[in-house]
Amino acid sequence: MIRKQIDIYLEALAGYINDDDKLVTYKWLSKELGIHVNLSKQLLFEYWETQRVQKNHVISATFLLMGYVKEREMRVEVVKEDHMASAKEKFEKIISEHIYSLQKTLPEIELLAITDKGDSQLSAVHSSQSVLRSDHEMEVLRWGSALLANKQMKNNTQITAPKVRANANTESKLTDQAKNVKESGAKSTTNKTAAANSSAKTQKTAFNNFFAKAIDKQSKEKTSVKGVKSKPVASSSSLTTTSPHKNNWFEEKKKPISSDNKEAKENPENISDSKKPKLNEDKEKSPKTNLPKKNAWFEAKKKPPSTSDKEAKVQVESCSDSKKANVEKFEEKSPQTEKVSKQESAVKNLSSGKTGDKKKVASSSRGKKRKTSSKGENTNKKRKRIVVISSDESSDDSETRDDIEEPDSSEEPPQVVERVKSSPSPPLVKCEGGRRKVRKLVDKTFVDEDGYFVTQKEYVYESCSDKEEEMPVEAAKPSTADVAAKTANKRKQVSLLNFFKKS
Amino acid sequence: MMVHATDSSDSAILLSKPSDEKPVVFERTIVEYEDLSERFKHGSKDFSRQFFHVYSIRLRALTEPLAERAKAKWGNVTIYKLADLEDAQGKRAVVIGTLYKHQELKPSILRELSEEQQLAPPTPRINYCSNKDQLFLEDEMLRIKIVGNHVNIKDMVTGIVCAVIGKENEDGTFDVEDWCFPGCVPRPAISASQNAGKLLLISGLDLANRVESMSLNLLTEWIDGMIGDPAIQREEASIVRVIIAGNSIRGSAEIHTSKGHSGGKAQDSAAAKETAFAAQRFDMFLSRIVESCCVTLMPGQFDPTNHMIPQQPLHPCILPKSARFKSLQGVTNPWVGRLGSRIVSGTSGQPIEDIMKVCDVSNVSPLVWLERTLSWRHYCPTAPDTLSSYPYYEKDPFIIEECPDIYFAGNMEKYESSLWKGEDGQTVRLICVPRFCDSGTAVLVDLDTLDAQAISFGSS
Repeated sequence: MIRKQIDIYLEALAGYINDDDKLVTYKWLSKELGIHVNLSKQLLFEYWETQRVQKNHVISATFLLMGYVKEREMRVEVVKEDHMASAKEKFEKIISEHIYSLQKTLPEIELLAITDKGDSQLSAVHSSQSVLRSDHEMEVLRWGSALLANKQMKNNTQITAPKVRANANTESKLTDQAKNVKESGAKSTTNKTAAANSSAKTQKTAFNNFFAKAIDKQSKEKTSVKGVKSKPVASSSSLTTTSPHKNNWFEEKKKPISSDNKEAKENPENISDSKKPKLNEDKEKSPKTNLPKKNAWFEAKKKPPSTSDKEAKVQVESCSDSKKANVEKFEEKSPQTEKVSKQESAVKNLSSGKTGDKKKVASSSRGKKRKTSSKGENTNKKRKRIVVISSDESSDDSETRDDIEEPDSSEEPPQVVERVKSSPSPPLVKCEGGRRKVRKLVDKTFVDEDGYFVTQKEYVYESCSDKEEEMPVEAAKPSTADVAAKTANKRKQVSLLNFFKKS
Repeated sequence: MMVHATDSSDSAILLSKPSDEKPVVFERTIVEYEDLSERFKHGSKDFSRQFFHVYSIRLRALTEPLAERAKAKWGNVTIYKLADLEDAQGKRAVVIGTLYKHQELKPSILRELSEEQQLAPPTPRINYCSNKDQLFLEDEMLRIKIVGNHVNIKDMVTGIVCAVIGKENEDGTFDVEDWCFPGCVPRPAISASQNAGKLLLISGLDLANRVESMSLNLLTEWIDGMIGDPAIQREEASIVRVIIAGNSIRGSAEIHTSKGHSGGKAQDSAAAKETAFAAQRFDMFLSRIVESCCVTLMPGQFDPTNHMIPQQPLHPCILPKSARFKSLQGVTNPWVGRLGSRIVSGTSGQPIEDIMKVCDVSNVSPLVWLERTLSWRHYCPTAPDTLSSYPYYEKDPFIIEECPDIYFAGNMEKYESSLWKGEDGQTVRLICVPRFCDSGTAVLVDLDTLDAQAISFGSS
């Protein structure tokens, strides 16, 4: 060992003790300087002794004693310098001793327990058996070999089909952001075995879909419809409702609502037959205007993954076109009540005119969506997720949206009530155990045997929340008030004579 | 200048100035290791069975060796079933069966239910022993009360399979003359191979209730080969394996945090948090040891795994850091393994603790009970009576199948050890491993000589 090197170490050691006021244990020093523990002990000893010789006895030392207290009973002990003599008396035979730590002061010896643990690589014993387990071994250890095999099989059957498509879709059109997500996803997944990989992949694709969608929306607001069309539309699974679809359905929906049933039947032929009756049904049964819109939105979701993007887009175009025509036709034909036309004009404003206006429709639809979600009807988790995104990105044009929406929500109810009366469907509201229940359309999403997400609509009775209650109550109010007034009138004694007549 | 002169010149090295000598590094001794406790691992669990099967399969398994031993001990005697005992007509007869100790103080769920009206629950007892205890011998069909001057009821526990010789009294009791137990499993002739290395046993670290202590630090440093001079470190390098015998994360059911606040849920979550934190600290501690030494980790009574014995290995996800090392083996409790040519077996202490509850604690040391379980040929006879265990119905895995060389019980009050010599020439090192949190003591066993010594850590 070169003396110079040791001097450097000693200097450093002096600094640690005097300047940094550290509890310098041999193990900490060895780790700090990257030296063997035994050398570290010797360094401490040299420093301690020079200090003693120089008589400036400001540092205190602790010693490690090792020996036999009695036959067949070993003892390892750390003692303060001052207690060395008494400590040594306990031992029958001391087999080893060295400096454990140096410090300015040490009020409590247990304080040394919270110092750094040192580096076992610098110790005097190395083990060739202390090697890390491979990832696969860890996996087996964690899950058990039988379970792991089982899991792997499940993963394979469940994931492959949707995954392939999702990958094709997303990977080709990954935006930077999505890529980032992928990277971070990869980082976070430490398991690199096949099973883990596949599971990580699904996670990733889900993420990508998610982000692709968000980006899709963002860019759509900036670009024209053409741009929108060329955007990646992740249609691999029902998870991804694309905004073009949404718009499409939203517009379609709007008309039937504002017009009557007959009109609805004249809906654009482009809508697939399977969906049409359902929509009408929805409309009939839905207590609120908001609901159909939501349904339409669900409908888009429900669209089987097999419908390719292209198809969807074609539909968008044709639908919007025919709708436009429809709307105009409608306006000419049936100048209904004020409120309807008012709303209609709003719709027209949005749907007719330039295609660029589509953006507005989208935003307005989104706004309504948000509204519905705020009504607390949200039972679908996935929908919630999308809602969150759209709400913060479209906050800028919220005022304009509100303008459009307000008449919509306030003036529709009468119509709805009418329709409900005529429909043969089960009652909207029923009483059960003293609790008002509202018949609602709820969709259930589950994964079928083939790995596809299937969304099914079901009517369920749910006890209504506070907000839902408002509307029906409002509708009912005038009638009850009337009745009350009438009865009050009847009871009222008109004249004194009347009273006597009765009796 | 040597201040503290010691008689060993070797130890002076570290009390000298650094020299040009290259610091020594020792390679840790490697010994072949095998886990023989496959029979304690659970496959699929089936709790629909009743515990009766445990006793019947135990009796069936031990009847044959018992009959042999009884004949060897008492000459050519006839072995009767209890149902055929009348045929003996009051003559000497040998009966093989399972002992049942009737104890009024034994906790009973039925009695608890019937006494539900009691305002305060009875305090848990230290032991269930009383002078009114009665002993019965049961075989597949009947039971008979055991009486006689040769009966020391306190030495017996429920679940022991044994043979008794005696006479049936007129009142239907059985007057016992002598006992015969299955005895320790005979050891196959072992090859005289050299077993280099030492085995270190620790138990009861109880990190949930202990703060970071100097003794634990010193233990780690000692195992890692950091403290001591080169001579000591050479010794340290000969530790081939550390067995941690239970209760490392938690050593008692006590909860220390948030006492007196609110019971129920809040307390539960506090306890869970405490355990999780302790597990994390244990992981830190363990990861430092496994970096330089092999560790066999057994769960204990209060550790976060199943409570019924056999306890399954601690899940590796509880110890994310240390579980990555190949040198860490999580095993069951009880556990049987092989180190070189030595068979090592032991428990985390519950069976011995439970036997001591059933019997009177005061006069018999746990070491004696440990020895007796060997001659009873069963790791935990009181399961499933007072010690909860899995309802086995095909095979009783707790029957001792192999004669261990080192047989230990963890979490004992204090360190005790003895070398037991069996009738068939077996030599077994019996060890009671003390709780480390209280004593700061670990036990070091030489695999070659079977010498055991305690080693304690601390500060003063």
